[in-house]
Amino acid sequence: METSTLVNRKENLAPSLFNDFFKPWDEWFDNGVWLKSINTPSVNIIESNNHFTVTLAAPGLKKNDFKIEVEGNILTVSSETEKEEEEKDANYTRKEYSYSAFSRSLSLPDDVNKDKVEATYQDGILKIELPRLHEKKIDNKKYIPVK
Amino acid sequence: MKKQAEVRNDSLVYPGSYVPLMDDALASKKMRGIIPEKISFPLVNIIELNDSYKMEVAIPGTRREYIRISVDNDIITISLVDEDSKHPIKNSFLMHEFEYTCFKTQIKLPEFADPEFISAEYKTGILYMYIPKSSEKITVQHKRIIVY
Repeated sequence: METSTLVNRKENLAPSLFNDFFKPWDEWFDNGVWLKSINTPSVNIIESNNHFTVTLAAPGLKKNDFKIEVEGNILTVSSETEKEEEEKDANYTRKEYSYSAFSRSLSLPDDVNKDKVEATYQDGILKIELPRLHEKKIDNKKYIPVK
Repeated sequence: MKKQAEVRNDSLVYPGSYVPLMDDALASKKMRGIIPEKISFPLVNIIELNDSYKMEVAIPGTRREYIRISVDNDIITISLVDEDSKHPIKNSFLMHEFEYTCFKTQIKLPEFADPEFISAEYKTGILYMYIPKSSEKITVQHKRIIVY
């Protein structure tokens, strides 16, 4: 199952067992109010026939701030930017996010071509394209023509 | 052109590039069809500076034309209607943690802030707003703020 291998959230250590036992309550956790820290950017992964697209919402950074590594089957996106002086003693009256330093890892499925991974950063979204080695047909539907 | 005459005053943008903004009626019509639970709220940082408040709303991956800001009395309303966003097929998501296509959020302004001179700018996925401080209480009935 690609779904389970690609999804590897560091902070989401609570096992699936949790979901079953605390059904109405786990929504609190799902919403990320408790478990998700303010400096972990959100990730979307979209699967298509010939590639996976990983998008990471980390606004307010520069493209040079990102460090993307593939080690074995693990894709790690991290960022460590020098905080400006102004930022350090800023008087926050409300602080809900801070993406200046983070690290997120995802384990990749086997059929990713690791040599052709490409990343772009635009409008606060880091987009990583991971081509597949073999094209996979997702569409299992069979269309039957009417004679 | 009849259409031109109908363009409301507050739907005009700054000179330079003419991008007609969505007017209030159309935007609220678009918002109506959205299931409330599906709306995600953007994360907000507010920093107090010497003479102003700096608000940073994280809205990655959109364009300034889609952001609408208005001030009514001391409530600032930020909404986003992104019509052009491509919706991938729902089950092609292996992981779906964010989506910034539509939201509406309201924030109460501090007591001594001047809503008349709020400036807004969209840069690298963040909407920056500067709200000047004032020495007395200022209230505005309704004001639209243009995002640059």
